[in-house]
Amino acid sequence: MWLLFLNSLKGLKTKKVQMLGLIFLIMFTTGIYTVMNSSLDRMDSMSETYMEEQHTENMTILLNETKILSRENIADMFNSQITEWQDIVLDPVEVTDEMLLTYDQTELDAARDTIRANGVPEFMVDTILKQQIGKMLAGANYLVGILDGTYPANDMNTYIFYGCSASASLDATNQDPTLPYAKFCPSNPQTTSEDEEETTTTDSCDDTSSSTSNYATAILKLYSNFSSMTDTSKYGVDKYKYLSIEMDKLAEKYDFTYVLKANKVISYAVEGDDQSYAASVMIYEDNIPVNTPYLIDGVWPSKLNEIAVSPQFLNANKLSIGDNWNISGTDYKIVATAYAPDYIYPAVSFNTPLYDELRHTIIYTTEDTYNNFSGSVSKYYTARFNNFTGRYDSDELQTLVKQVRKDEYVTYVLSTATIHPRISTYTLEIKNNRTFTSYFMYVLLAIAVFIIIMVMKKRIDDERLQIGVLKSLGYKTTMIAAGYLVYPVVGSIVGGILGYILGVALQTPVVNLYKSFYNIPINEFQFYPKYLALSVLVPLIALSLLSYLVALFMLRQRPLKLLREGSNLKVNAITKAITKVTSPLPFKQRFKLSLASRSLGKLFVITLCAFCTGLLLVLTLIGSTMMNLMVEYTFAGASYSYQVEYGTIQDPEIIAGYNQDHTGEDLVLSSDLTLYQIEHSNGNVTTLKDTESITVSGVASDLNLIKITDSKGNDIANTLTSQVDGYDTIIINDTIKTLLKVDVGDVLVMTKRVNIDGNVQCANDKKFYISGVNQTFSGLTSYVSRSVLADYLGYSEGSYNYVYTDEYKSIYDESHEEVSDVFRVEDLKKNIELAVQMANYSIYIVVFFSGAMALVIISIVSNIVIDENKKHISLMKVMGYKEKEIKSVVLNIYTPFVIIAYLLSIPAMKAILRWIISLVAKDLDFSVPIVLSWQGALIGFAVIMVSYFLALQLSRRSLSKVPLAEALKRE
Amino acid sequence: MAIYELKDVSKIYKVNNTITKALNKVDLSLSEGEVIVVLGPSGSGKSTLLNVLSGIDNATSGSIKFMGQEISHYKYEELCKYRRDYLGFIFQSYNLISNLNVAENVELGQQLAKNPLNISELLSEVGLAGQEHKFPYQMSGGQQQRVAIARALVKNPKVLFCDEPTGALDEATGKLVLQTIQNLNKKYQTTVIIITHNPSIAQMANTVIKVNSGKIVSITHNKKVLNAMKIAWA
Repeated sequence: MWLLFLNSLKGLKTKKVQMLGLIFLIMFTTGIYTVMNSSLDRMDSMSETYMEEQHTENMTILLNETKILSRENIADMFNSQITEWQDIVLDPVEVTDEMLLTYDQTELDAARDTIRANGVPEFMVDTILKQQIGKMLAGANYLVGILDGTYPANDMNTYIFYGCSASASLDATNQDPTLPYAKFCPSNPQTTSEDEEETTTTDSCDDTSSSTSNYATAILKLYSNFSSMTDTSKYGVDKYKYLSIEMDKLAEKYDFTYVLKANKVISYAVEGDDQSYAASVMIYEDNIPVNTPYLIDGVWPSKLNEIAVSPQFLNANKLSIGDNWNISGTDYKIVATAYAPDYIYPAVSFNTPLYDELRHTIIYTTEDTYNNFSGSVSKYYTARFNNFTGRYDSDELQTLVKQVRKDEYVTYVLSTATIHPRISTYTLEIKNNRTFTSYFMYVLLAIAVFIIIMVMKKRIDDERLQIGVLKSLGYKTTMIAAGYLVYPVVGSIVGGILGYILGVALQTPVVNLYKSFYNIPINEFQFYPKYLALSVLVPLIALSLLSYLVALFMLRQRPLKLLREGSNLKVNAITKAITKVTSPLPFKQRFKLSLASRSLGKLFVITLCAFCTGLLLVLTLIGSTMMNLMVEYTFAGASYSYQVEYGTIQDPEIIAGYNQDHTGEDLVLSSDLTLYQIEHSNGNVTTLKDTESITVSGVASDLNLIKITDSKGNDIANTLTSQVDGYDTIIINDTIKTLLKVDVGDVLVMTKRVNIDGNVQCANDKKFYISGVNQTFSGLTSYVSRSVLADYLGYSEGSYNYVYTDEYKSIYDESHEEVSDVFRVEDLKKNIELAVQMANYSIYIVVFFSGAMALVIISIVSNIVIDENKKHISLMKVMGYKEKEIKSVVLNIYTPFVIIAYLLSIPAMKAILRWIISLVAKDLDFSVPIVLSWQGALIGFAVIMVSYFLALQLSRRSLSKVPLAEALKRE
Repeated sequence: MAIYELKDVSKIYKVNNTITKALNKVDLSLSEGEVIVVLGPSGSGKSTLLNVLSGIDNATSGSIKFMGQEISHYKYEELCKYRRDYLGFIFQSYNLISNLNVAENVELGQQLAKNPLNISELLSEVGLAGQEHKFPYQMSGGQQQRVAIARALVKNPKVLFCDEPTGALDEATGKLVLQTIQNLNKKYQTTVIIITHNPSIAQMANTVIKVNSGKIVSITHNKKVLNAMKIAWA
């Protein structure tokens, strides 16, 4: 057996091209496997160490504020500032004897005793009791009036409502005159009115037909107002001093350390650049126990206007430590470069979600400097478990996080490594890249197996007489088959070692590439010997095993049959069929087709190779246009340059400073409604198993800047002016249409769902008739008439919470109390263009790679074809055929199959993409246009054909080398 | 008329430091329309002679004239044209294209000719009428060789080179093949040059050239040419 193997080894001299191609294929496979996995391992170990040492948060916690803040807290925060409540005169309520009978008599007797204890004569007791109950009812009536819209949801009424519904502390009751709610709140602090029994505590809106009226929307208005009152600096309240008390209890209960994190997102212009710059500004604190800042170079800021920035920002802007950087007219001195451990993917602004190292940075600075910055402030609790030392993506951590999430005082917990986008973007990329690399390796190894099988088959065919002799002599098939292991063995060992070396050499450049996107300190080069072993052993074992089994199958024939002359000349049924079918064709075409059909294996490999290359090219070409189309459709015809978001609904009845000049601008009232049922135009009714949250934007029909168009570009905003079949109209977007399978003519049944303190309440149903489909692809968004939406939500007609404008006014300055965010359209467009540019580079890489792989595989197959047809080539040369004629017959036999395979790959990839999008889009709420332009199709075709003909050209030399004397050789 | 004239033709192979004179200063003149047998043992140089005459290989020195035209200095493309326009070949191992049927194999030769012969008629002449749609694996050795003969002759060549045409065949089949060649020589006046180590075949030749060690040992012109079916097989 050894001798046979050695003999095969010597025979490799004559199979140089095939062997080299196989080695290259395995080298490429193991090279990519090694570089990706070693880079990912290095990144993973770097990030794990970094996150551990810098105490990166495990979770961000949002507390149930209304549950935690007590009446005393609320009184404390607002009492001295909101005094109008004292001037409210309540309408007296006369309590009759009959009404007294409806109360719990034991409680009434206790109340009477209390009155008697104050020295009130007996005949006056019930009078006083009725007066007290009357006052309480008057207060309760006022409270109901806030909920049903009788009294506006302004700051004062919000204060009263939350004062009454906040948790009571200790035994404080409404009788305590020091509390402002004494005259408003019912005696039982959990009871608001007799309507309370209609409150639903379910999670769904199944019972909306008999639900409360607009209490849900009223509570939402009050909630929104309360949030604004406590978050803005209007009242200078610091709710966190109260919330932190609860956080301390939670920290003790669940054993974590927490920090109240604050950051400001600032946006500013730089001369010479038409795109905005953005930064997330944070106060540098020494020894902060969660998200400890990481110093790279320099010293931490200690004086006014000193800042630390990210090193990528420094380098991209050609700055050095010690330089000044101007932000909105103020010079700041750069004293250090640093990383923020919770900004591994440093998306500093949601307006420009894609990291731009030139324009985005984190900034650490002193407290004074921080306070001087004008920007949108965010405050939230970040926490880290004390005794957990496992990985950030471990199940154990998720279990701990879930426990915290279930706590009654917690509204929401953002698990850092899996949900927090500034960290999970990185962690998920590592995970996904690993998966991709593994599958990629399997695919390439599968191709290598096919190549080996083809080469082996050729050799076995050529050596059938020798094999027959060996078998006659008594050699077993298993021993003979071992001789053919030379291909996988040599290919795996040589290719595996070379691939590993290639992978190691590329590790640092790949890690550096990752580093340009992610803020993690790089560590030293890591040597991973396991990948050397894997690079050799995996292909060696897999390829050897498969090849051996195939060789055993191919060698199964009996010696006599092998020794019989002409035993290799048999023609398969397909060739016979082709001969019959193609008889009308010219001789050259018939000859080509018969050669192609001779070996179905090679035909299969070439066709599959062209098909897979086509799939990859089409995927890349569609992907390149996808992002451009999404941007184009999203901003199609939009004339606005800014989108201003308000923290609270600007209702003329509520907001004192409402009257601002919005001439030429578009005002939008936006809210999320829950879709739970669809009434189709054909009469069918679909009740959704999982309700969908739809963003509904109320607009005027005569819009100035926003364009609402259908797929043909027609303006459809005017369909919102009228009702159809008694329903108000709605324009949905393409995502809703695709995901929920609805269209014009269907009716959406929606409701406003409000979750307050875990208590879900639903407003009345609202049905909308779909009058049009807007060509946008992101999120589940829709348009309705603004007055209709305001009416449904309980706001007055002129209400809005977004302004779309083409001119930035000072009133929109983000430090203004009411404005929560100003979004510049151009920034997002340019940000996406940046991503498209980056995507284009990866397109070039993919196109190059797929072309190169096709080139390698087709070269190997062509070489095998020439080897197989040596005698025929020699014969044709002897007969007088020119080399050009021989080449066109022997080498171009697969051309029609390659073309057909590529053409088939186009609809195949489109179908695959549609299927994938249907699976993922449901969770991500977007649909994408799948378009391959004819130019894209041509580019893909050109790449395939260039690779194909280049491969044939490389094989041409082999063809020229076939000697004429080959034909004279006796068999 | 002499179809070939060779003067002082040598073919020398140099492998490392070993020099082999496959042909050593050969002088020869071959007449048109004859059946010529080149006889010699293995390694005598007969195959080399076939190669230089047919343009498969170039002579190291000397002059080779074909129909008065000097061909010894021809380049690859000129030799290709020479073979295409004037020569036909038959090989010991038939060299049929296994994926093409009988008619298509003959068509392979027809594609090269300006005025080819009719395939069906030719197949009838070689005794394969009605076999057009069979594939080589469905035929015996003799039948395959006759297909090869038809392929070689379909372009009506001036010269038909036969390299051990009966080497893989038994006596009866071999005689049948030789008879086919003989008949076609008579009909089309094609010059036939047969390379063989089998002395029996010499009996059907007009001229017998004996070769040994790269030299012409003797040239004999047979007064009596036997019918191929009647030759005494060695």
